[in-house]
Amino acid sequence: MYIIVVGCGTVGYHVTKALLFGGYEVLATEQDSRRCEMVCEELGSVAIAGDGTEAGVLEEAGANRCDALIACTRSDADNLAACQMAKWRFGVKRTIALVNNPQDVGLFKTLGIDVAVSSADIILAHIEEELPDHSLVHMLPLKENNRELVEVKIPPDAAVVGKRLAQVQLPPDSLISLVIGKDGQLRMPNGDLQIQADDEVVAITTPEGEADLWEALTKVSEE
Amino acid sequence: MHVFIMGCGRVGSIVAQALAQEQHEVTIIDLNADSFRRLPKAPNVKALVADGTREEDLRQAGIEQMEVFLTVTQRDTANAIAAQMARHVFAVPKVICRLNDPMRQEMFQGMGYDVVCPTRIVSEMLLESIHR
Repeated sequence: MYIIVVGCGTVGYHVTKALLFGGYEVLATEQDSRRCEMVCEELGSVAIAGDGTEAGVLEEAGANRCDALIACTRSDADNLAACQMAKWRFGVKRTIALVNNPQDVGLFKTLGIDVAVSSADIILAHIEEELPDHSLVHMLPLKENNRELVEVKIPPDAAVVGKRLAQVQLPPDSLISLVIGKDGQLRMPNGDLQIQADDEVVAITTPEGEADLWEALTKVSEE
Repeated sequence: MHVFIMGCGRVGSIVAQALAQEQHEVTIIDLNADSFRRLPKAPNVKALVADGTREEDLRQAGIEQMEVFLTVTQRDTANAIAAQMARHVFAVPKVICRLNDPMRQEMFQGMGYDVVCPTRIVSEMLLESIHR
């Protein structure tokens, strides 16, 4: 597989290196000629100097025969431009963009970028997971149908503790896909599943239904 | 007409001035406040320091009330993302985009944007001048 990486800065460099070690054919484009030289010195002739948002540079990089293009610059505008040019002019099948500002993820997806990765969102999810009282953790946005995969930890004082899944009122468009017990045991969700304290409930929901789902699973018992 | 202009360089400021004289309501943004010195002090011209490539900046600058969005910065990629935000996020009825790269101009014209390509226009005019 032949992959083009646009931007050989912090992220781009590591992506290029990892792909090379993974046995892929890789070429990176980098605007800063000195940086480009440094990368070539270390990794071999795997980088060319130039603006990867420009058709001419992408052509030189062999975009017409590449299988995927990964845009990792620090500018969302440039990452978007590189991916769009790659798709429109060279028919690149898979375009992947680093999205620096999480607000831009929606736009990238609307415009047909195949994968839009927001580093801030990933870090946030990890931080949320580390917090001892983490409630709802965003695990993965699901591309189609505006869904996301989330994880909710059931607090010991929640009203649903001891209840069966069939008794829990979930918001529409939310589905429990898996329950992980405190001991790490996996339980498949059926109506009879009994929710226990410290269970981690993996669910598919919508951004709109998320708050209601969290409320339904973590609301404190009124007794 | 409510017109939003991104970029207060030479082109942006001239367009802003002309529109202001025609009594349109103009909002113009730029990353650098110094750029606004080219603007006339008129009640129908609002100048703000903002980054048009950021959705939040555009929203705060009032893009949602605009009928026309015009982006004329020197940076093609900035103009491109802003124009697409104007259409897809804010549904501005008319979006006009300056793009220096003729290839990118072709792409965006194909996507239904009004594009002005200085490179193409200038080269055509120069060639015409040579042939005369």
